[in-house]
Amino acid sequence: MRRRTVGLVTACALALSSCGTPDFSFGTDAPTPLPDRPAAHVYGPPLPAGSTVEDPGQYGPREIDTDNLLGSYRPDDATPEERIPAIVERGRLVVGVDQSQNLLSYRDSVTGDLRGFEIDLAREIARDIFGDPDRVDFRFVESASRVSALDNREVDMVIRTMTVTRTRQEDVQFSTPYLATDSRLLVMYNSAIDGVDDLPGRTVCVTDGSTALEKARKHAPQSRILKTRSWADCLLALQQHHADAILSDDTILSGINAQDPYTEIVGESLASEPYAVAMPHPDSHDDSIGLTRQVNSTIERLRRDGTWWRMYNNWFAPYLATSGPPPLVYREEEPEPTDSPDNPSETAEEEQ
Amino acid sequence: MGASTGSGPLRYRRTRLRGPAVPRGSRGSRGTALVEDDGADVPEDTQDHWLDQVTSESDHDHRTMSRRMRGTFAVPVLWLRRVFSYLITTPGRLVAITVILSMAIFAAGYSMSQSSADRQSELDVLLTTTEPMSYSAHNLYTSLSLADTIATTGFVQGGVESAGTRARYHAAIDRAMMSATESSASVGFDDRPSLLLIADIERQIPIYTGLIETARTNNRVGNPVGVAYMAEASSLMREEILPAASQLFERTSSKVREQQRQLTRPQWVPLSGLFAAVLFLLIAQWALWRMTRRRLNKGFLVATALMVTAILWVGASNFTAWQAGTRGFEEASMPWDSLTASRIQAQQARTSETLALVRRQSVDDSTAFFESTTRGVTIALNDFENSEGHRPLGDGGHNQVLIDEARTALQEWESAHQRFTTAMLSGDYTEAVRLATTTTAAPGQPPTSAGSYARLDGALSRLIADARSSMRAYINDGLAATQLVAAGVMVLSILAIIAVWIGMRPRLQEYL
Repeated sequence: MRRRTVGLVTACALALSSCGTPDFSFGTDAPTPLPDRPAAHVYGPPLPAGSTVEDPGQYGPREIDTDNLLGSYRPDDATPEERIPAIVERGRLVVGVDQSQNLLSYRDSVTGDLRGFEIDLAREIARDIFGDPDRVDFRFVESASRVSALDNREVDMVIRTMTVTRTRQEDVQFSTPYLATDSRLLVMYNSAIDGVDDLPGRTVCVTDGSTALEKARKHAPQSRILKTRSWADCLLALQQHHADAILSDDTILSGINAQDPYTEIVGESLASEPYAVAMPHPDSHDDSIGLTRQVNSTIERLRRDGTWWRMYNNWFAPYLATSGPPPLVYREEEPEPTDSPDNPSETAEEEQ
Repeated sequence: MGASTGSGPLRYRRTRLRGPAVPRGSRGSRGTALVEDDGADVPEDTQDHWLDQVTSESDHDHRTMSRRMRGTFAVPVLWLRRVFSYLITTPGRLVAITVILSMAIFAAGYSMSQSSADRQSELDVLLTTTEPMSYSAHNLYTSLSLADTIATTGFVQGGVESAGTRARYHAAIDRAMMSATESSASVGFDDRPSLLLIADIERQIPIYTGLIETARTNNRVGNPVGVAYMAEASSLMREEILPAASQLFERTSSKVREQQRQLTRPQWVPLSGLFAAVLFLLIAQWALWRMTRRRLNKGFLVATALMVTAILWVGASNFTAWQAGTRGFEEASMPWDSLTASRIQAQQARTSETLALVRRQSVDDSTAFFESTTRGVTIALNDFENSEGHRPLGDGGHNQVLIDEARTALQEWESAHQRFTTAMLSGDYTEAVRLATTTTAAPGQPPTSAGSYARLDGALSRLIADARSSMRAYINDGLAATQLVAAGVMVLSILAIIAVWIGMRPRLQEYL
C-alpha cells in the first residue's frame, strides 16, 4: 500500500514537474480569418487645423444689421493736444492690427516688417497727431479679442477689417468708414463657378465667426460650409480641394488672389460693407470721442489730398476696381457754438 | 418498411453496429440518411427476417470478441504477473525504488533545466528584440517631435532657414522613418494594435513632409499662406502622428516591463519538482532502512546533497534575478518613461512657442502649455533624482551634474519665455525672433529661449540614454544570474541518479 502511494505521488510529481508551465490550450478548430487591411478614412492632408464643416442648411443665416447705423463724430477744429492729451503726452499711438491679412495688414516674411493698407492708415493717423508716421506701436489682436482689447484699454484703436454693424456699435465706437468692400467669391480659374448660382453641392470656405459666414448661409444654403480659423487657411483648403470657393470681402480676396495666380474673383457683389477704425466707448477715465474726431479728421484729409487713392492703388489696383473712398457718415449732433460751415451736414453723403 | 416506425431505426442501428451483418456499413452517417442507405442492405426475402439473423450473429460475435481479447492480452498479463511477483520480493522492491527515484530526479532536473534554458533564451529575446523595439519606438517618437520643432524654428529664421536647420530636419525625419521600419520589423503580426499604430504613423509622415515643403516654398516666394501650411503640418503632427507614436512607445515599453517581470518571477513549479525529488530520496532512505536495517546509505546521501545544492543554486539565481528585475528594473524603467515623456513635452512646448511667432498669434495657449511642461519636467527630474539615490551601483555623481544642468536650463528657459511673451505682446517682433532662434547668448545677456531649450533638451537626452543603459544593465544582470543554471542543474541531477544507483548496488548484490 505504501509503495503504491509513493508510486502515485511520484507519478504526480513527474507529471507536474516535467511540464514546467502546463499549457491547456488546444489547437483552435476554426482557422482564424485574416484581419481586414485597414483603410484610411481620408487620403492626403487633413482639413486645415481647427476648422469645422457645416452641412447645407444646418444653421439658418443671422441677419447682419447694417441698417440704421449710427454716424460717427464729425471732426472739430481742435488740435490733437486738445482732443487727445493723454496720447500726445505718451508720444506713441498703440494700434491693434492683424499680422496675417495679405495686402491689408501682414508681416513681410523677408524683412519682418508690418505692411498693408491698414498699416499705412495707422501711420497716417500718427502723422496727423505727432507729425511723425513712425510713432506707432502695433499690437497683434485676434479677431475674437478685438472688443476686449479695446475694453481693457490695451490698445488705443483697432484697425483690423472691422465691419461696421449696428450690433458692434453697442460695443465699440466707429470712425467714419475708410474702405468699402463688396462680398464676392474667389474660385480656381477652371472651376466653372461664376457666382453663387453655381454653388449648390459645392463647398464654400469662410472664417468662423465672420460676417461672411452669415452671408454664406444666406446665399449658399445648398452648399457645405468649411469654417476655418483664418483666411490663409481658406486658401490652403482651396489649393487642397477641400473647398471650391471662398466667400469674403473683395479686399481680403484680393490678398488671397495675390498669392495664387490660378485663382480669380468672380460673381456679383453679395453685399457692400464698410470697414472702420474701432475705438472704445468713452468712460470715466477717458473721453474717446476726441480720438474718434481725430481719426475722422485724418480720414477726411486722406480723401482730400489724394493719399487714399495712392494707398488704394498701391495695394489693390492690380486686383480690384473701386469707385473711390466710402462716403463720410456722421451723426446729427447738438448744434455746437462753432459749426464748421464748409462740411455738408447730411448723415450720409452719397458719393457712388 | 419497418424502419419507418419510431423504434425501428433505433433497434436497427444498435444491432447493426455490433457486427458485420451489414456488408457495407455507412459508418459516420446518422439519422435518416442511415436508414435510407441501409434499406438496400436488408436481405431481400422478408423484411422481418433480419432481426433474428442479426441477433444470433451478435451473440456469436461476442464470443469471438472476448476470445480475441484474451488472446491479445494474455502475454502482457503474464508479463505483468511475473513483474509483480518479482516486485514483491525484496530485490524487486529495491530495483523498483531505484527506478522510481531515478525517474523522479531526472524529471525534476530536466524540467528545471528546461525552464531555466527557456528563461535564459527569453531574457535574451528581451535584451535583443523587445527592448530594442521599445528603443526604436522611443526614437520614432522623439525624432518626429524633434522634426516638428526644427521645421517650425526654421520657419522663423527670416524667410529661408539655414542650411544647418534644414540638415537637422532631414536627419530627424530620416531617423524617424528608420525607427518606424525597425519597430514594425520587430513587432510581429500577432501584435496588431502596434502594427496599426505604426501604419498610421507611416501613412501620415509623407503628408506631413509634403505640407512642410509646400509651406517652405510659399514662404520663399513671400506668400503668407505658407504660414497656414506650416500650421496645418504642425497640427497634423501634434494631433495625429505624435499621439500614435506616444501610444506605440507606451505599448512597447510596458511590454518590456511586463516581460521582465514575468521572467524574474521565481520558478515555483520546477522548484517544487526538485523539492519533491529530495522528499522521495528521504522517503526511499527511510524505506531502505526499514527493509535492510542499515541506517545510512552513502549513495543516497550524496544524491540528497547534490539535489539540495541544485535547489540552493536555483534559489540563489532566482533571488538575484528577482532583485535585479523587480526592484532595480522598476527604478530604472520609470525614469526612462517619464523622462521621455517630459522631453517630448518640452519639445512640443518649444514648437508651440515658435508657432505662436510663426502664426503671429496670441501666446496665451503657448504659455499655458509651457507652464504644464515646466511642471512635468520638474517632476520627472525629481523622480529620477530620487530613484538615482536608491541605486546601489549607479554613478550618481555624473547624473547629478546632468540633473542640475537640466534644472538650470529649465529655469533659464522659463525666464526667457517670459521675456519672449512680453516681446510678443508689445509687438517687438525682432526681439521675439531673436529670443526664439538665436542659440548663442550675447555676452552679458541672459540666455535666449532657443539656447536654454537646446541645453535642456541635450541634458534630458543624455539622462534618457543613461536611464536606458541602466535598464539594460538590469536585464543583463537577470540574464547573468540564469547563466549556467540550466546545464548545472542537469549535471547535478545526473550525478544524483548515478549516486543513487551506486548506493543501491551493494544492497542488491546481497541478493545475487
